[in-house]
Amino acid sequence: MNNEFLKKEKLSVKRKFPVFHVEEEFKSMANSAPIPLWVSGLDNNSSFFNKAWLKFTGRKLEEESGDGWTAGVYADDLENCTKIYKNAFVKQKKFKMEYRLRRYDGQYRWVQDIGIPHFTKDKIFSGFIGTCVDIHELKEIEHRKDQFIIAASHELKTPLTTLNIYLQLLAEYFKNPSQGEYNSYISGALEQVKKINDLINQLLDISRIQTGSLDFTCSVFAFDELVKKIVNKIQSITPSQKIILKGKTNGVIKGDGERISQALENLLTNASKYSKGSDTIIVELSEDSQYVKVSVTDFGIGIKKEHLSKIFERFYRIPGKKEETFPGMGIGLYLSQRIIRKHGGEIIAESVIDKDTKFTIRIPLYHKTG
Amino acid sequence: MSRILVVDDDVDILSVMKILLTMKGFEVEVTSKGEDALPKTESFKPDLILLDVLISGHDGRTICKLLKSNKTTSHIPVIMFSAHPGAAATISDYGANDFIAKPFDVNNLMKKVNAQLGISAN
Repeated sequence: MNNEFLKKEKLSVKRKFPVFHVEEEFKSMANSAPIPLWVSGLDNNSSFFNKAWLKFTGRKLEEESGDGWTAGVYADDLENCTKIYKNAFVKQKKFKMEYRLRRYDGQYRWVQDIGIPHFTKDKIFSGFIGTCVDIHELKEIEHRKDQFIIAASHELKTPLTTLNIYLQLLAEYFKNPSQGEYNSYISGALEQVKKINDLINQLLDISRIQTGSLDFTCSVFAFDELVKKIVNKIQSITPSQKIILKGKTNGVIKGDGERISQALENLLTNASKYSKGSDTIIVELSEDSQYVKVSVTDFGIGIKKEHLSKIFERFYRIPGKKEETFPGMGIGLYLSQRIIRKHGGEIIAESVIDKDTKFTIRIPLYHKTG
Repeated sequence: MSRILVVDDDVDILSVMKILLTMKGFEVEVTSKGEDALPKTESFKPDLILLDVLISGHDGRTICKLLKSNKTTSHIPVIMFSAHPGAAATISDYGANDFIAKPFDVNNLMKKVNAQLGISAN
């Protein structure tokens, strides 16, 4: 019995000592790190905050431990913050969140908190380790930029409104068929005014998405009808390309028809833009038990795999000599993805370089007809 | 001849609106100052008011609410306009009768004007 006991004790010491040693070493290193760090265990309670964290919040380790740190989170951000944090624990997956955290001087600062799940050598989940970076200045610059875009858009639209009315007055003046030539010049000018207005609206939408003020007016409608309408519209302005519509759904969805149309129009105009040399674009409708889907396939230049995950990022433009010859601001796909996500859906991109590119929009079914 | 008052802080818009609406057969008065909206309405007695949402130093919606709460002006229909299409969602709370986004199509504007004045398109 005694020998058995001693053997167990030896094993236990062997196991504990290295762990203890590593833990101390980790804490010592973490305390030297220049950015706030935290560690939490299996119970999702935070067990360690490094010196940089404690210096930032001006609180003691005992105060921050457990869920004590949440006392410093700005009240309006707390619910979302706790939800993301707890959800990440359940899923044991990396998370990234932004919230306002009280600094030692009482000022609430925007921080970006990134947590990574930690697994033992045997791949057993053992908690999270995270960093928390002060992004307050960045947030303020972002906010100023969004406010600037909103203000600039308004200022640009004012002379555009006047120009638009003058052109329409001219169109009325030259409406006599014998003055057809002038009339076509004025129509051309009015079309350009509309294009400028659409571009300004896209910039405005981006800022509104950032500030959370993009409006959605929802109704219930048949998905296929909307798709057909947009396909016909784009076909009428791109007569040199043939848009083939395949398949059908019985899906009825609930959402903002104008906004969903905007996303689909964007995919179709992109398909047209990037498939110069190929005259066919395929639009295919399909559905499963949860979603209605519409895919847009072009047979143009394609997108390299490394860019596929980035093309939905704001202002992202694919680098490359060939790609840079295509005009654009890098906001269409970002905007489209955000619109579809607001409806609980997703846009998925697949591509084979120099062969084809397929974008699929999927939106949750509201119900089926018939 | 129906009378229309246009309130907008941009003088270029006021001048082109005056040309347009006069051409369409209306008697037109304009002002670029928010504080003049109520006195002008009381003196000019318009049948319709076209009112911008953002007027330097004033919120057009507050002006609209003021007009709608004043006994002598509350019956006058107000069409608001703005470069922010999203503003449409908020204007009914202030008593406005309709909204049009800038830049607007003249035909669309005339349809809305005529509808408020009860004028048939034909």
